[in-house]
Amino acid sequence: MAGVGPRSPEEKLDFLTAAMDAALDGIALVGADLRFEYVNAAFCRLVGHERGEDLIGRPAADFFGEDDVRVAAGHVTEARGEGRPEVFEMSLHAKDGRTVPAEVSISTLRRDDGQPHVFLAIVRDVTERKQAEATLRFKNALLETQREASIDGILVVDSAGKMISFNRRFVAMWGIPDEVIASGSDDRALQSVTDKLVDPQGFLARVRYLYAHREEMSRDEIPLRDGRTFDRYSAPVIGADGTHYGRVWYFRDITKRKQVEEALQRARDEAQAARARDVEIGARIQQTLLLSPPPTAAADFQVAALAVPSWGIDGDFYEFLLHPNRCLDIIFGDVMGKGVPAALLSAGTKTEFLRSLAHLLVGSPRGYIPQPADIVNRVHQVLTPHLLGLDSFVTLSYVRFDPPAGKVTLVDCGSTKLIRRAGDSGRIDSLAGFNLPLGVAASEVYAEATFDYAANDLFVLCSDGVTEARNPAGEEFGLERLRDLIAHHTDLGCQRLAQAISEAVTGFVGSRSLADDLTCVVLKMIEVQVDDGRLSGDELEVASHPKELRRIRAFVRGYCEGRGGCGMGEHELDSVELAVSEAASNIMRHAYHGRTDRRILIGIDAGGEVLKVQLTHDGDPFANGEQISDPLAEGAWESGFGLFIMREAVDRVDYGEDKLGRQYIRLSKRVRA
Amino acid sequence: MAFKAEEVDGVLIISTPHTDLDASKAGEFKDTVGLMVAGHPKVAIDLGEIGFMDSAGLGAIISVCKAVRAGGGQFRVFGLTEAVKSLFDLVRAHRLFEVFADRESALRACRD
Repeated sequence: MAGVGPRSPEEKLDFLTAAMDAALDGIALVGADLRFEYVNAAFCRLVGHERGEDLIGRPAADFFGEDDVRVAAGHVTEARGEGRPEVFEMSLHAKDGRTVPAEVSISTLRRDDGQPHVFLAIVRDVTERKQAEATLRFKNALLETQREASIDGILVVDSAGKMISFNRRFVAMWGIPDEVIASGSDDRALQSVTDKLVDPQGFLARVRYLYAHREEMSRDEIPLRDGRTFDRYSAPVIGADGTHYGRVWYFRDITKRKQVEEALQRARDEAQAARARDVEIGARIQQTLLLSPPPTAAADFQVAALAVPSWGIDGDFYEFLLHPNRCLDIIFGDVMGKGVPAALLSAGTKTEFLRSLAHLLVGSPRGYIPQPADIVNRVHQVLTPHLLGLDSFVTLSYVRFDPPAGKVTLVDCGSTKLIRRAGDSGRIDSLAGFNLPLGVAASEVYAEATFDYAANDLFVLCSDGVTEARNPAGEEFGLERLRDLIAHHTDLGCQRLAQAISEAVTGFVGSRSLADDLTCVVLKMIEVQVDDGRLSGDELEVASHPKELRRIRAFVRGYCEGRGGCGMGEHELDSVELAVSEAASNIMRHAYHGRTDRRILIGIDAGGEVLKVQLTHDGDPFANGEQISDPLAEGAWESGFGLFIMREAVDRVDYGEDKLGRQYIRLSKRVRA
Repeated sequence: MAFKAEEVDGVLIISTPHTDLDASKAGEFKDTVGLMVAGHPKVAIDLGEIGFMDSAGLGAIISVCKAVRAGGGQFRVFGLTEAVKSLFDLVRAHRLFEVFADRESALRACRD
């Protein structure tokens, strides 16, 4: 640098002038008369002038406000006296009317004799700094307001463990003593609150952990001994440049919220418990009332039932009615929907069936059993208006198995088909009608269909929860899969087959939780091979019509005459014939109450020394051993002779029930072997 | 059943067709014969064609008998077959009404 510097005074002046013009700060030389003697380019820019020459000689006060002039004069005076730079702030008035905040440093340049010669003013535009300061003040005010207005207690602790900021709410919540606050020590603050905590050790351990792991955030609930609960949120305080300044803690009193939440939870728990009790009671009601146990002592068939509810309570129901004539009615239904409403509707439907059956029986001859279609139509008339009002419906199968006739009668109300597996060939077929579900159309008339069956035929009734069960891929279990399963398991009894169906469906669905109720009934007709007390001789089966009496007598007479009178004379044979006729008449009139479409089985056997004639029927029983008096002695003229004649005509009259549940009258007469 | 009625010496004689008088016919007998004998003071029923009778048939005859006697009349039966005789013996029907072996003896009794 030394080799290139100015040599002459003019060169030096030009150099200095150029250097000052290059400065960022404004520079002005003010004479003792407080007029400008020199200004640089930056000063010109500050006050809005293009050329310094325009300012030379002008009073410096032209560029300051009235107040600032006095301030500036004071500083100038001080600068004169002290001989060191005076720094102060003031406002400059620019040519265009702007006010420019400026920081001004004034130094005094003195002559050789020490007298002030000129003042050097270095002027810096502090507009941006002033704006930044104003912004900062605003932000601070905002933060202060937010901090104090917050419902949370707020504490900021720096990296050294000093409380650098907190609000009054924080102090009040924790009840921190003034001296602790004054100390600014977070440790002392922590110690001052431990006696208020339910778990002070856990609290302090958590705080230490968070201070040790500066980056972590946390949210905890802190129970206090006085019953309050604080929600505590903590996060690190990190600058925009990533500098870690400490940790902020927010505390919120959530005692009331917790109380409300706990009360709500208790209410939920109680409601859930009540619902669980309802479901349990409902399920028990369903098991006991809606799902009647199948008959176990019937000689003509085996039957099993199985129900797997989807929601604890469902709309499936079944009922078994075993009639005195060995017929079995099965009512197998499914009410739309699930839960208690469906169960209630099922109960109502089932009740209506039993009521309708009773209604049809009242006033009918004893022994008369209404036809399935009559029963269903009666229920339909009563129930369908209600079902339409409830916007619900019932799918149902009413099935009657009639072992004496070897027929099955079906009233199908939109239910899943009745599946039959033939006992001899194993062939599977489906029996179905075309009726609508109950509750769909008031004008529907329900028709029944009758089919023959044979011994060892097996029947399966399933709810749509079986056929419509879906696996995770959305595929239905379907009727074909069910038919295949029934065809395949020929070795299983009814109960095990029902279980096999249930297991197959649940395995197919892939879950024990079924979307719909799974209900099925399995029935197998069995070949009756029991000692029913039937006689080993001839048999005749006739209708319960009086016109058959002559045929009955002819049968008895023919049997005896074919065996040489069975050791009886004509008079004795007349007596036997009379007794048999009386017995048959009694069955028609009293056991069947005049019904002519029932059956009477007459068996006769003359083995040994006793001729036995047994008349078997399905009507009402007679009292065995009833005291029979002479109707003439009693003065009863026109009736009452039948029992008396039987007793007098043969040696013994027995009344009983065979192992098939049928009633019989057995007449015995000793004969000559 | 076609019943035949004739009046001999003031006695209404009813002859039954060949049949069994059991529960299947008793009602008809009671109704038809009951109408035929109404108002007659002397009635005799010929049971010679009744091959079999049971308690229902007996009840029908008793019913007719009661109707005749209710009007102050006399009631008799005759011509019983063996089977009917067995029944009458069994229930001791002679305690109910007079039973005669044949038509002549019945008419004679009516005249006496």
